[in-house]
Amino acid sequence: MPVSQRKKILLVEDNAHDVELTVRVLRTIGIAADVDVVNDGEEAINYLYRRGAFESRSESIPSLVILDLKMPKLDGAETLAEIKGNDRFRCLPVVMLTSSGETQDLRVCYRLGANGYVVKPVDAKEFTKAIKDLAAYWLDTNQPPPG
Amino acid sequence: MITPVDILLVDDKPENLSVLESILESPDYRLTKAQSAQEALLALINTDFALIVLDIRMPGTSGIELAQIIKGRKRTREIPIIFLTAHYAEDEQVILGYSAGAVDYLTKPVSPVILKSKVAVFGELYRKTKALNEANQALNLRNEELLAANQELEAFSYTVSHDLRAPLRHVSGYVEMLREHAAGGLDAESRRYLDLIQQSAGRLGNLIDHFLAFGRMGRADLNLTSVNMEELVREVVDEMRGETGNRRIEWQIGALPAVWADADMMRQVWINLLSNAVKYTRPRDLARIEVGYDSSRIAEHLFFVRDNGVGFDNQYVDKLFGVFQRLHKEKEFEGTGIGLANVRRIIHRHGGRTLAEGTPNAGATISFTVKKSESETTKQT
Repeated sequence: MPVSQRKKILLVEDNAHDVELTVRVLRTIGIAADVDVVNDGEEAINYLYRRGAFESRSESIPSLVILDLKMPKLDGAETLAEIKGNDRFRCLPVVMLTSSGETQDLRVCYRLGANGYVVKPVDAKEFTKAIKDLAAYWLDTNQPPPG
Repeated sequence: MITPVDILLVDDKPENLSVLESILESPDYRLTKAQSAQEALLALINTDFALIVLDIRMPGTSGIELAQIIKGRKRTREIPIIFLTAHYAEDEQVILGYSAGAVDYLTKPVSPVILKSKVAVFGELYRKTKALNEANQALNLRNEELLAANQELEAFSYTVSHDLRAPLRHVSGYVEMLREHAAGGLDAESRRYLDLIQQSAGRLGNLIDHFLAFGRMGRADLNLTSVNMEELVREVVDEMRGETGNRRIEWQIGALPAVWADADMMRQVWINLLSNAVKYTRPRDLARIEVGYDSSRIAEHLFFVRDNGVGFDNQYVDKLFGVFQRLHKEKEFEGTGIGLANVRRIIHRHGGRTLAEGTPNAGATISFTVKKSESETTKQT
C-alpha cells in the first residue's frame, strides 16, 4: 500500500449525536483518515460488498470498522458475525464502540472475533481519549497481516 | 363446607352395594356404585376417585383382575383400594402381594364402624394430598412469575445502561463542543455554568454505573475459593497509595484468616470499607485505620474496620447500608451512596451480616461476618 494513500474508517452508528461527536474526534487525531458513516448493520454490509446504494463506491476496503452494538435491523453482533465469517474481511479490524458494559455483550463480541471492545465513556474528555487511542492503535501502531 | 370426595363401590350383588352405601352415607362422600368390572372401569374414566371399595369375588372379571388393571394404568395407579373378602385365608397372598399403603382389606360381613373409619382415613389422605398438590402448583406458578420478573428486571437494567448513558454522553460532548466553539466569547459565569453542567452529567453517569454494578452483583454467581483476607487487605491498601500518598495515615492491620468466599466480591467489600475509612478520616491530621479480626466467634468470622474519622450518629445506623443513602452532605464527602449497600449485598450472599457503630466526630467501626464452613467450625471444637 502506498504511503500517501489515506486510510479509511467505516463508522457504523445509528445515533446522529454519537456520529457527530465521534466523527469530530476522528477528524482531530492527526492521522490522515477519511471517515465513512453508515447508520446500521445492513448498510455496513452493503457498503463492504458494494451493493445497493454503495454500488459505485471505490473498491478500497477500510482500515478499520468502528461498530455500534445496539442498532436497528442488523445489530452490531450480527454485523460482526457477517464480517468475520467472510474470508475477504476476516482480517479487517473491527472495534465495538458501545454503551453496554455488560459482560454478556463483551463475551459475545469477542467470541465472534471482535478486535476490540470499547465502552463509550459518558465524560466528554474520556470519550475523546478513548476514540483517539483506539484509532491511533488500529491505524498507526497495528500492522495488518501480510497478503 | 368441605367438597365431598368421590368413592367407588364395586360389588356384583346390588344388596351388598346398598349395605355399603347405607354405612358410608355422608355429606363428605359422593358414592358411585358399579356392579361389574366393566362398570367400574367406565366410572374410573370419568371421575377422579379418592378410594375404591372392591369385592374380591365377582363373576366375570374378578376383583383381583380389576385391581390389576387399575394398578396398571398410570391415571388410576395411585387410587387406594379396600378389598372386601369373605375368605381371607384364600385371598391373603393376593392382598399381601400389593404394596402396602395403597391397599387394605376388610372381611365380610363388614363391620360398619371399621369400614367408616378406614374410608375416613383414605378420604382425609386424599384431601390433604390434593391440597398439597394445589399448594405446590401455586408455588411453581409463583416461582415462574418471580423468574419472569427477574428477567424483566435484567432487561430493564440493560436498557438503562444503554439508553440513559447515551443522552448523558451527548450532553457532556456538546458542552465540550460549545466550550471550544465559543471559546473567547464566554464570560467567567458562562464558563462556570458549563462546568456545572459537565459535573452534573459526570455525577449522573457515576450513579448509573454504580446502580448497574449493584444490580449485577446481586445476580452474579458466587465463585467460592479460599481467600486470604490479610493478603487481600494489604493489596487493597497498596492500591490506594495513590489517593493516600500525601496524607498521614497510620494503618494497623491485624492477623486475618482465610475465608471461603468469592475473591472478587471480597475485594469489592474491602475496597469499599477501606476507601470509606480513608475518606471519612480526611479532616484528621493523623488518620488511624485499624483492620482487625475477632477470633472468639464459633460459627462465623468477624472482621472490622475502625477509624478515627468523622463518625456518625448511631441513631441513623439503619440508613447506613441502604441504597442511595448518605449520612453526610455530598459537598463534604463525595460518593453515590451505594458502596455500603453493595457491601451488605455481598455479605448477605455469603450468609453473613454487616454491623456498624459510630460516634459523631470520633470515628466509626464497620464490621462484617462470613459464615465459617463446616470443616472450620469442627476444627474449632
